[in-house]
Amino acid sequence: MVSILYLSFLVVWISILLLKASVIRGADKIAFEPRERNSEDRKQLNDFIRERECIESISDITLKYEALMEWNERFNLFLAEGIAARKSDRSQHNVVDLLHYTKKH
Amino acid sequence: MFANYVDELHSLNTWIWCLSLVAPILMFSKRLGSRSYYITAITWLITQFINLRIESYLFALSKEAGFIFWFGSWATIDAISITLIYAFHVQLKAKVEFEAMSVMIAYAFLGMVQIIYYFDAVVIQTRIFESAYQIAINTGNVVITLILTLPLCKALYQRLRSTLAKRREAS
Repeated sequence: MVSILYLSFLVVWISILLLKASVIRGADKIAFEPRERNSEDRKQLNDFIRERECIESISDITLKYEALMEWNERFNLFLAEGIAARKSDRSQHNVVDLLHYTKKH
Repeated sequence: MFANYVDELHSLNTWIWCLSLVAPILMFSKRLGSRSYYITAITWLITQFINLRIESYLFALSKEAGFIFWFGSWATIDAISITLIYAFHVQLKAKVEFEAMSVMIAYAFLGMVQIIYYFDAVVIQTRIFESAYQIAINTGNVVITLILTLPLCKALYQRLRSTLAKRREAS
């Protein structure tokens, strides 16, 4: 008799929990931040930095201005592509580094 | 055909433990999966480990003290597993995802099978569901493992698709 009562209690308990769980159904947060998969982007960023350093060393002010404008245009495009990629598939363009670099210069 | 199916399931059960251990580890290494997935996977792994450890002791105990301990214990473990999954979700304010809900339903199914078979084999002593019991328990374990492996397969498929799309774009 006790065993039947206990097993009946288990049935009721399981049913209640399933009903309660169905109330909080939905999409949950990702448990861990994805690792950086941006070795290619990192290489591209380093290229940008090197290029910028070369531009900084140009003594002719008109040439320097033109080179800076052209560099800036390509750099912004790279930045925008990174943000778009991050939004679409969570791939990690290191936007923080880029912004940090642009602030410095 | 059914006898073969049961035998195959028994041998498959050995590999289930490995697969259900490997799937969450791979998910973690790839930084995939939600909190809900890990709650479910960890609960399943712990209960599987406990099941493997206590099976022989429980069988010896139930032979002496009655089979309520055998069926009652499995059903209790299933109920506790559901409670743990639900309680962790509530504690972490996590949403119950497809995998968690499916595993909870599978646990409920496994628990119900134990209870029904207890009534069938011990209380009424008809043993109508003897083969159904073996098939249901083993199939339940296989289903839970497949549910835990599903997000990994999905992520691998998506990664393969994006790699192929990138290659197509490059060419």
